[in-house]
Amino acid sequence: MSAALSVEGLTTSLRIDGVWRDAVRDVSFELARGETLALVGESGCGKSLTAMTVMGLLPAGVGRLSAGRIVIDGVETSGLAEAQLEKVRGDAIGMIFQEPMTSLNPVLTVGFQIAESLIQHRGLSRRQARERARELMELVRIPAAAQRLDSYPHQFSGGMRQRVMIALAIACEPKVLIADEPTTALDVTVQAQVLDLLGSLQRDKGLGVLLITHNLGVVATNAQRVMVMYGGDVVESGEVGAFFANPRHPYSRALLAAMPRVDRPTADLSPIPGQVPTLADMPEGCRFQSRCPLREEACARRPPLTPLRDDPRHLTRCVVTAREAS
Amino acid sequence: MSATASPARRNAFFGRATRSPALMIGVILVAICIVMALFAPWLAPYDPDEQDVINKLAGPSREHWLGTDSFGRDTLSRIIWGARVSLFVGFVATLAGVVVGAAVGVVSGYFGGWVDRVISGANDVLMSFPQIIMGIILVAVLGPSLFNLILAIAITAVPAFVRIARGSTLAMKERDFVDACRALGFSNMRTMFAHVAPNIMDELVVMASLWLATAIRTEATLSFIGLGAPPPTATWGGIVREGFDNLLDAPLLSIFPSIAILLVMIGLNLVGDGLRDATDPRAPT
Amino acid sequence: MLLEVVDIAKTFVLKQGWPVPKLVEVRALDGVSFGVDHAEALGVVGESGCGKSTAARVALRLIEADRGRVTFDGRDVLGARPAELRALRRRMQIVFQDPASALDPRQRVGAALMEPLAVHGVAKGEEARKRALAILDEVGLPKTAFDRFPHEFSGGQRQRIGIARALALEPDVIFADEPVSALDVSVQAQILKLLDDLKQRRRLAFVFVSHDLGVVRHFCERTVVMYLGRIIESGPTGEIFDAPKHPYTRVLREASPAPDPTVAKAKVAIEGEPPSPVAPPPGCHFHPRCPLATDICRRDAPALRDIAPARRVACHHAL
Repeated sequence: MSAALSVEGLTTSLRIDGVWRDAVRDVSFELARGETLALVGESGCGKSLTAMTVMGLLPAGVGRLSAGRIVIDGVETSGLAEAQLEKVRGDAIGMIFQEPMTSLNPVLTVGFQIAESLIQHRGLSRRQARERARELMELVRIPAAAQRLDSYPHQFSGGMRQRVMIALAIACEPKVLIADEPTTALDVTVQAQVLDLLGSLQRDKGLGVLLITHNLGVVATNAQRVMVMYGGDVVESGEVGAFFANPRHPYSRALLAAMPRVDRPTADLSPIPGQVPTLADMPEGCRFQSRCPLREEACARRPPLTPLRDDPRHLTRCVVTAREAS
Repeated sequence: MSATASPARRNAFFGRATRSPALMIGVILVAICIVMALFAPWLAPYDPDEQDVINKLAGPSREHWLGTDSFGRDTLSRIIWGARVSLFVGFVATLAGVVVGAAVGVVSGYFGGWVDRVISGANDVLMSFPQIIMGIILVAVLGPSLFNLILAIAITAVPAFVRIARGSTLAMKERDFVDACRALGFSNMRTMFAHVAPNIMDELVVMASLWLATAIRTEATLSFIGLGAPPPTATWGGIVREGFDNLLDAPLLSIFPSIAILLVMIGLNLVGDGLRDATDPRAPT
Repeated sequence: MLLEVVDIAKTFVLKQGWPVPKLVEVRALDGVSFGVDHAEALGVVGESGCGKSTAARVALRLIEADRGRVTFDGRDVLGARPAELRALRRRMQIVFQDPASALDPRQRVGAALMEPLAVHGVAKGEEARKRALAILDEVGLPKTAFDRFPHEFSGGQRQRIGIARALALEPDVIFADEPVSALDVSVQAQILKLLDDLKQRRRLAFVFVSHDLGVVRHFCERTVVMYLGRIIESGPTGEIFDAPKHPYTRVLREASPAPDPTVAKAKVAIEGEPPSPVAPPPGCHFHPRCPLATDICRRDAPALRDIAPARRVACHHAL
């Protein structure tokens, strides 16, 4: 079976002050059906931009896909015209965002908004679409779904709204769901419920989930694989177990060391010195070198994403740690 | 919410401003008018009050470009001098309206509660009067003089500024820095006028430029119905009125000052709209 | 105790509904007590709407309480007259979640640091300038920050400015309302480290409001857990999170994921969302979502009682 989503050499450029700069460089990954792949990193690392590029949602004139192939469920979408892309979006691929309120139309009932997508993409009749919308709302565990079809977005709590967004995103049974910080705006107990729901959809429906988050705890408990991004580069990728047991890239390590833990006392936090450079000031070669404790001369050239000898599924973009692993 | 006085944002502001042709046209029109007002003694070909009865109600000619009025006074000179009065009245009245309105509005929004209810209630009553009618009543009661004219126009302007200052203050109060000021032990006066007021200035300036046009129109209207600055002072509204008496013999006499009023109104409105767009951070840079 | 908050309560009255608005009572705080001492941080945790931020603002008198008592260094805060209150405010400061909103956008950083000094007659002119520069240095900002505007800084640096302003008057206690929630992990660590230093060096007391249990565990010696306007558990932070006594604390702890995939993911043990503080359920507020709830929970609100040394819990069926 082909991958739900396959991305090869994806490079996204942004126009900043009239100059096009690569904000995402050469990102490649495959997302299998029924798999959750977490994309982690801090703000500005390019994780959301990667998602927008995959969705074909880059604002014209500001962002562009400068290189790479995107294949969604066997269909290459990179290079498709907007009209054709619209057919793919919401059909083969769905997306949910951090703030569901801004993604829902406040003057239309949620039932109507879910049904609309089904009418447009699946050609269902109004009655069929409404019935399917009710089923979907039950699927995402909204209590009293039949009554709540006619409610407006503002009548839902934050967690329930995110469930509505999920129902909307999976209405046409896409193969891929991109979840961009889906629980960041929610309280932890509600976050647990929404993540639980996403997990069961992924298992039961064979959905490939690209989970974008800054929260390493969420990654550890909800994903099978993880990719860490920094400055537009994927700096490490691997199975979640191997990654947390022994993170290889200095940035991944720094990130974990900077995170206070709820499960055990953290006597000392090690902040990462300095800040993420702006795109214009990004160093040549390894982008983390300006803040890295292991920096050496070889870092001036861009290191390749190297598989570890003992675990070829675990890759690091660091000449120093790739060496130490052998 | 509002652009700030800081350099970076200010550059963005000028960037937006200079790229708007409508705003530039507005600025030019208003600038012409201001130059006319400032340099009237040098620009005007004749003394605006000098009578030349033989040449009364003359049409445009080489000597009198825009003709003369019923006393033979040069219309062009009177329009140039009239710009002085019109702009002076407009600026001073609007400024007074902004200062008083903003102060009252900030107090109303900042304190809330019964203070706000009383001020907003009174303000709504004032706003329900049409400006012209209120102006007429005020001048009629106070008696026609330049000072009373300014006072009347200022009073008609106050409610609009109270309303906008109150609204902006309510929005500003949601920001944590207002709580921070209180936690730092700052007095209410300091918090309101040193921290809240500067941050709502942008909106007030935009509003003021639009109100300046209204104030000039109100001045012209009051002068036209004889409640403006007493003759022989040249004001645009007054010239229109004088021409009105001789509309059949010399229609141009009313039309020229009307065009002057019209151009200034267009200019000020373009400036106001342009400023609003340029200070709106949601607008694309 | 340096700061003692005893039994404070606050009900907000809102108008809701259209076309005929009805008055709605929101019980934000319902008998909350806590205290904090020099060089100590007290965590206040809970989900949105639990009243944790309101508690901090009431203790600072940014919001007036309906009832209760706040004592700071032996002085009554809630009953203080304006002049006394101004003097007290020199010693009690607040740091906000969103540093962009917490700073006056039109005021340069240096001016923001010197203004409180002038207002309280602490220092003026060159002396004030020297002090402001010293504080900038203390919070890890360059001297050049003095003449710049807040928007010229990144989120983390802006939070440092906010902290610097709170420090200007050399307070004894700082209320920190989600001070690192808006920041990235690496920046968050920098700010936490700064706060750690300040706690030790200046012997500052902190009331640290946060929804992030990891951050609280790192920074706070003691913690109180709030649910719908009431404290439901209190005690040493490590003990509370490792062995919660209240079912809600346990749910909160289990829902906060640790970066460790070897720990089996806890089954989501909670149904529904926090009920609205507009109409809190009778008895124990948590009973509609509690797996242990019985009749008594629906009827009687449990009092906060001692259950172990230094630990208190408000539950009829404490774990």
